[in-house]
Amino acid sequence: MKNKKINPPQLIMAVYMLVLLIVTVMIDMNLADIINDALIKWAMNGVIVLSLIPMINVGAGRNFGMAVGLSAGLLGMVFAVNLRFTSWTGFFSSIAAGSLIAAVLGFFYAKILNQLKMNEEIVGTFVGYSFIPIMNIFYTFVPVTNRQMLYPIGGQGLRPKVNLDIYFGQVLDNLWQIKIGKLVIPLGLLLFLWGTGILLWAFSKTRTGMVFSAIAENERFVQISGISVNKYRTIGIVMSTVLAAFGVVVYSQSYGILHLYDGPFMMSFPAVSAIVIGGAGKKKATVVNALAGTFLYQTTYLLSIPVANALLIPEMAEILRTIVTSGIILYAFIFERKDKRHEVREK
Amino acid sequence: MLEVRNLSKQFDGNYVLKNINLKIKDGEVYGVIGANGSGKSTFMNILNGKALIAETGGYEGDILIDGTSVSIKNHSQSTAHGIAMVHQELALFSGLSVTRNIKINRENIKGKGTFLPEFSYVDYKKDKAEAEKVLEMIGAQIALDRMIDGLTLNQKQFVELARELDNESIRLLILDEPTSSLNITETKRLLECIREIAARGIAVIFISHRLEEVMEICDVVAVLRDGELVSTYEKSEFSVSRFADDMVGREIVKAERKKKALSREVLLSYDRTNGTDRRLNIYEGEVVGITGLAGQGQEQFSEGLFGLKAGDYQVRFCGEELKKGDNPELIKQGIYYLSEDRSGTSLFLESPIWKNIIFGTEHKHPEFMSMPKLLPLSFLQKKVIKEYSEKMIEELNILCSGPEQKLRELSGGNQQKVCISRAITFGPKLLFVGEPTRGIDIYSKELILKWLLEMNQKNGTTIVITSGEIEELIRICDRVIVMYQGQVFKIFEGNIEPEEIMLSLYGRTADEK
Amino acid sequence: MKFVKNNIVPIAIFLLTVIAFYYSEMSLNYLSAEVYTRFIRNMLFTLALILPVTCGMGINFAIIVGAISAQMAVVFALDLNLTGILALLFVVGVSAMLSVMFGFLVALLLNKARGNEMIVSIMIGQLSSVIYQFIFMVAYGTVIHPLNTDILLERGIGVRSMLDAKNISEVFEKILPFKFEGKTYTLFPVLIILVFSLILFYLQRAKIGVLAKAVGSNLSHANTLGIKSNRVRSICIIISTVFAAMSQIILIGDFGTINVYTGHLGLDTFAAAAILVGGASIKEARMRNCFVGVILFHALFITSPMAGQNLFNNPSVGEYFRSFLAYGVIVIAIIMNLRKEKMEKERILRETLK
Repeated sequence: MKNKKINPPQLIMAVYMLVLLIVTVMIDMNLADIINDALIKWAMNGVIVLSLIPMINVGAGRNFGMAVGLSAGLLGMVFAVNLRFTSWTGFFSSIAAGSLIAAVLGFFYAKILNQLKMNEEIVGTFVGYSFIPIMNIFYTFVPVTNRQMLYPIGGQGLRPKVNLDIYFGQVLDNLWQIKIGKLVIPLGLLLFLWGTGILLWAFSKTRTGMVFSAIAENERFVQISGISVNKYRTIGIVMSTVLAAFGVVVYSQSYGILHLYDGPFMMSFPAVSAIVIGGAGKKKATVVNALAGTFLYQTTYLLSIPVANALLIPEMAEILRTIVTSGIILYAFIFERKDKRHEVREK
Repeated sequence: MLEVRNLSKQFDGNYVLKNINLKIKDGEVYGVIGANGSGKSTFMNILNGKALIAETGGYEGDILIDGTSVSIKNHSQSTAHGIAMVHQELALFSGLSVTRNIKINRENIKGKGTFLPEFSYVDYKKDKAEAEKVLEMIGAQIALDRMIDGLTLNQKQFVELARELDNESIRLLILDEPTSSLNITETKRLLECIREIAARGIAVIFISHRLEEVMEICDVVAVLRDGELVSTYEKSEFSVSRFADDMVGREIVKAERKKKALSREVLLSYDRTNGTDRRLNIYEGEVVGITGLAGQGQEQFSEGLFGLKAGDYQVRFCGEELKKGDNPELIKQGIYYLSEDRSGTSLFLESPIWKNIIFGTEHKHPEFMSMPKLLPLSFLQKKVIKEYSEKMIEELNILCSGPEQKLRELSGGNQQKVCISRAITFGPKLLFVGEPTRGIDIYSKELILKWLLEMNQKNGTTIVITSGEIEELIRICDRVIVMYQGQVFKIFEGNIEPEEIMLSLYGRTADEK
Repeated sequence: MKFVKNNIVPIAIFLLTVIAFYYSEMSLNYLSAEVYTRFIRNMLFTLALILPVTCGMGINFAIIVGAISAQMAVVFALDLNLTGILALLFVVGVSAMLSVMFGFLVALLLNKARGNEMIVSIMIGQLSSVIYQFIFMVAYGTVIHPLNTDILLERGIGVRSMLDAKNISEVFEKILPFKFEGKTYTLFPVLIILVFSLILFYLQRAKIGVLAKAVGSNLSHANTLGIKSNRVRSICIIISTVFAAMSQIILIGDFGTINVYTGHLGLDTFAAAAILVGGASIKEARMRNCFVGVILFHALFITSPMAGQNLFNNPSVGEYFRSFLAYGVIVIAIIMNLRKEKMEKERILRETLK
């Protein structure tokens, strides 16, 4: 925690946010609304970004195959909605079912990744991509009884978007809201985010946490010390997968819609980008990295929407967001390879 | 042809090559011998323009070719001066044919474009004809269209040689251990071939661990020791014992450790090593050294046991069979390993000292944990750990600002002391140490050796040291095992003569000189 | 038996295709016609992947950049109101220039990301795709003022998403047309593909081909022997990008319209899946892998939705299945390749120990 340098992505994003903020104020946007939205967006996406931490810290790379965990969370929600669970029952049963499925899927995901050390990121990307069509086939055939989830015509297959409002939409968003004038602070939601963060932080201070970072730093040393590297990697990957499932449940209740099918297709890139903005490296990520990065990333996106609308080019917000996402990830790959030389030497 | 004046090379202030002066004539076969770390490979790397040299600050002194001073900063400059090198590990491309490998980057192309020569068509027929000529010259019969992957090691060696000789401007050929993987007849052919090359006026630098080859083929032999050129001999002056004396040096230090009677209680045994019936025993309570020239298989016992390399043997510990590479079980049995590759396998360079001292010893020290019962999820007792680390730092005299300092900032000697202190914390029954004193200043060396001996005497830890520092091994070990070509060549006990060990390194015994 | 073992992927896909074809209840003529269309639209893309694979960079997902340069050239041609053969020549010239330039930039980035080329090429593809969208959606009409305002959206900012590319498709239609099942097709694209195949065939036997193989076989050896590996890798990427640009021109010429914002998307995945289905690995690819792969993959691609419809009464099952296949084959290829490398390493280790 000593040498806290601001890296270029952080600087660029901060300046970018400032510019957007000025423009937003100039076009007479309501600042309170923006803050309200920013807080929601922060917490809504924060858990998903936090889910990257265990895998990075155990040296298994940034989880580009997040779709596996996200799908597990979606399944958990399908389960809860199918039983017509509402409110907190719905929310917690989604999380429970989702993490159970995520643990199983994560175990197999870890099996694949453990065979492919050093290549986790590219393999993860395509494992995630190919997992989505598998899930889609599942969604098409799953015997669901709640008609509200089915296609109105034909009655076979889930709808791509299921409205959660009558189940557990915004249940967490509305918990312990504090209203100060126009400002609405979703304390419950924020506490959930921070709580998850604190648990992860505490975990990093345990012996297992120490072994995690040790594996990321020098896997061979850990191996020689009689510690099963693959076991810990499996734990880390399962943790990330389960947390991704958590994250998507939080995300969906906030969004109010259960987005199935290709919903999780492009969710890993923004998350990775956010944590990179927060200053996380290839093998080391802290809770602060994740939270700060998510805030910067989501808020800039949020601010760019009214600006784009004011310019009469609404598509611009999404374009700018994608430029930021891929640009930042590209930056991470190209400038964070300092340990490479070491490998060559060793040879 | 080649003259070297006051050539020196330092790595981080450590001179590995000191004021080398030598002259090589056209058509001469010049042998270079010396123990591990004597500077042979650095010398070759300088001549060959390896990137490693330039990256670490270049060399000092002059290299003269035909009397004019030249500078060699990269590989292409070296090639331009007609210097070619056959590497010990062959630089051949699998998936390409013999011809392609010989003519690589020197293809005959049709239409010589200067802007984009890469787009010119390769005249494979002409390539083939030329490749055939070179192969014929060195007396190798290899089908030119065969893929490299299918060749024997010997054939590959010839292809590599042919590739270097194909360069028409070649003046000096460097051969680094060219015979190490060949059998007797193959070696003979290669040596003949080298003589023929020399007869064509090409100077050859020949590096080998096999003294008989060196004596047979070389016109002049230079002996390197600790980065210095100790002596050069003309053909008439060749003698194995002279070479051995020069490689060891005269000023041998007297033994420091009193040899005690060995317990002969077998602690660990290696059975059926390398498919033979031989067995190697490690006795309880002894300090045993394993030595050998580079690549003679001395690491196989420790690295094989811990699954870093293949090891062809079965292991029994206290009579119980052990699985190789089952590190959790090894650790449980109290076997610990400090590898010679410190930064690669024994240290967390980016982490603080305390973590490096206690890592992997938690199960032996519940006091390091705040909730020992919850071991995996327990927090660390930072205070206890820090106090312990401070104690260790003081006892081993580790120079640092405190237990929080990152290991990368320490010198090599202090890093090694951190490793040793971790071994002490672990308190093993059997400790493997690889090259404990490599790249370490003299003062730290003695401290490290002292601590190793203390562990042996106070805690009864059996210690197996793999090292090329023969003089040190003689001083502290009860027995010294010499490895040659992957096998145990000889085991020395009692009063050990350094010259005898030196000879056995080269696969010779004292009585045959 | 060895043949089956070495070609397990194409054979498995072939069997799947036969099954899918059987259940799709299509006529063979219909399938052939569809495959023909998809063949000419995707073949060159797949060929574009060969050189980067050969020089050890894996699958170059950044061929999208080549497609983008072709799309840009077509929009420029429309902007300048060019028609006929002139338009085609203009498009070829400009897209070649752009793709060399972009390919150079891509190579620059990929050379900095050694060991991660594939995922970085994905990110480069994504980034350049959005930058391209940004230019045509936002900059056109605001910063750049086109001569031909018909290509703009009604609001005056941004190019329309669909533009008529008749100017080049006309040229295509006139050369070597033939009729099949009542529809008119042309042989011209096949001719171009043939020419580029020959070029690639030549390049593989030129100095660049040999050097690429050497660099791909062992990068550090190549460096010790003084091969300029970065230069070799860059040339391979540039050639790959140019091939992709030419491929996109064929696609647009054959299609007749240009999807300004989406016409280039997804082509990289199809090409990657096709070459791997054809039996290539991420370390070794031959031209025959491309030809076999493109035909097999697209035959399966066409038949699977219908087969899904007939088998499960649901066409989307087939669609999901084929996209699973497209991505899954990449995962399998990487896993198989790494296993092979691991075995190779162990073999070398054992050899040196003896």
